Amino acid sequence: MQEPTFLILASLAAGPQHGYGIMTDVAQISEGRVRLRAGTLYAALDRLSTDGLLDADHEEIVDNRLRRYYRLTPEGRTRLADETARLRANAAVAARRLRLAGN
Amino acid sequence: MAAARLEVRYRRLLRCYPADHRAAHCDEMIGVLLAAAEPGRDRPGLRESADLLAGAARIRLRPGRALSDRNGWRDALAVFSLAGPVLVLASSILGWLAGLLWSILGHTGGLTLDLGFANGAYENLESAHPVVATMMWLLLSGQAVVAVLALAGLRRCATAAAAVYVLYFGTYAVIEATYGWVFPAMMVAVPLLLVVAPLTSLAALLASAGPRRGRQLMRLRHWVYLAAGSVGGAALTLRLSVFVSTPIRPSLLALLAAAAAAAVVLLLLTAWLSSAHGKRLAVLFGVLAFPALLQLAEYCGLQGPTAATVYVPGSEALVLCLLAVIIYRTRRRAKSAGGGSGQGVA
Repeated sequence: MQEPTFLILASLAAGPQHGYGIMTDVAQISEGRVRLRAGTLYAALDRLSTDGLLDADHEEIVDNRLRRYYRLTPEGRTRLADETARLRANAAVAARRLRLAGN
Repeated sequence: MAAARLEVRYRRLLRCYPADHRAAHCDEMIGVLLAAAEPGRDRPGLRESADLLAGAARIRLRPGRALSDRNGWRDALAVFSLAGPVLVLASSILGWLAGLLWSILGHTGGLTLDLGFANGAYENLESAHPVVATMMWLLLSGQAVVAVLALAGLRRCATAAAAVYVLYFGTYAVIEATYGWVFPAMMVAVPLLLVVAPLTSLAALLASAGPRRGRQLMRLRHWVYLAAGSVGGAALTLRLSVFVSTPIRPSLLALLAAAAAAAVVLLLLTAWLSSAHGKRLAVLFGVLAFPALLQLAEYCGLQGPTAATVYVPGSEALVLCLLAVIIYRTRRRAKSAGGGSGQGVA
């Protein structure tokens, strides 16, 4: 899973978010390293909804603009959990080896 | 004012996205883009524009894209599985009737040696090459069997008949182009016409839910378009030659055929483009005009036995590849959609 995809799923893990909310959240989670633009974000949202990892939750009108909120599906939640476990395991191995090399 | 101008420019960029995606997300994306834009900005930045264009390309090129047009190709193919064989048969019959009428009126326009879907100038058939006469009746019978089975909604039988037709005439087209038994070797595109239309119909029958679903999707106006297309197809197959008493050079015939094919495709394009399946149907019917384009290439100098041996099998392979891609994408899309809405109709 690519980092932007992981970050989008991570931003939806706490609850439904709208497009702009996901963009700002991703920048915050990645401490500014990943800044999604609208084209990339909506291509990713389209792919992830095709894959059944997220779904539209609800819509609201703010300042005459449509806001659509997205949420993780159970499958999306599982995929995010699996990916988190995989990254954590990889990070643990890397940290252990760095410690060994340091000693 | 700057925000209004920016919005107009964003909307212009978003036209690159597929229509269904735009319908679902355009306003939402505009909201996100405007929220992310710096104050006072009145035109999208270069990176932002490139990002939007790349996003549109990614969405368009993705197989299995599940939005409102999930069954777009599948439904278009279902319509074509019925409309294709009917168009081909109706064109042949209209051409045949026109030839017959011309003969009754006492004219001897002369039999052209090029078969369209099944050339209409039948009045001199008996005096023509016996292979031509047999071939024409075989063609017409094959087309009639496929069209009748499609109209009856018998998908499997129509598929089997179309497969036999394609196998027989596909092989014949290659042999004919190689050895030129009946046709002058230079007319490489002619035998190709025998196989392209049924090949496209076969692909449609295989990949879609079939003609029964197609009949559900077709409205009265579509049947009117089909009738108009059949008249265009008849004009194409006749090559206008029966209306001229003196022989026409084959190269000029090829040009006229290409022009007629272009007119048919244009008619279908303008009539269908605005509908939900219009663009896809235009592609499928456009495939039928492919041999005519090859004829135009002949007119421009693509001639000779080498061209015949290379371009006919090559073109058949090309059309086959295009249809294989459509079938693959349709099947994959149907799979990703959990069977698709139209699957149970056949």
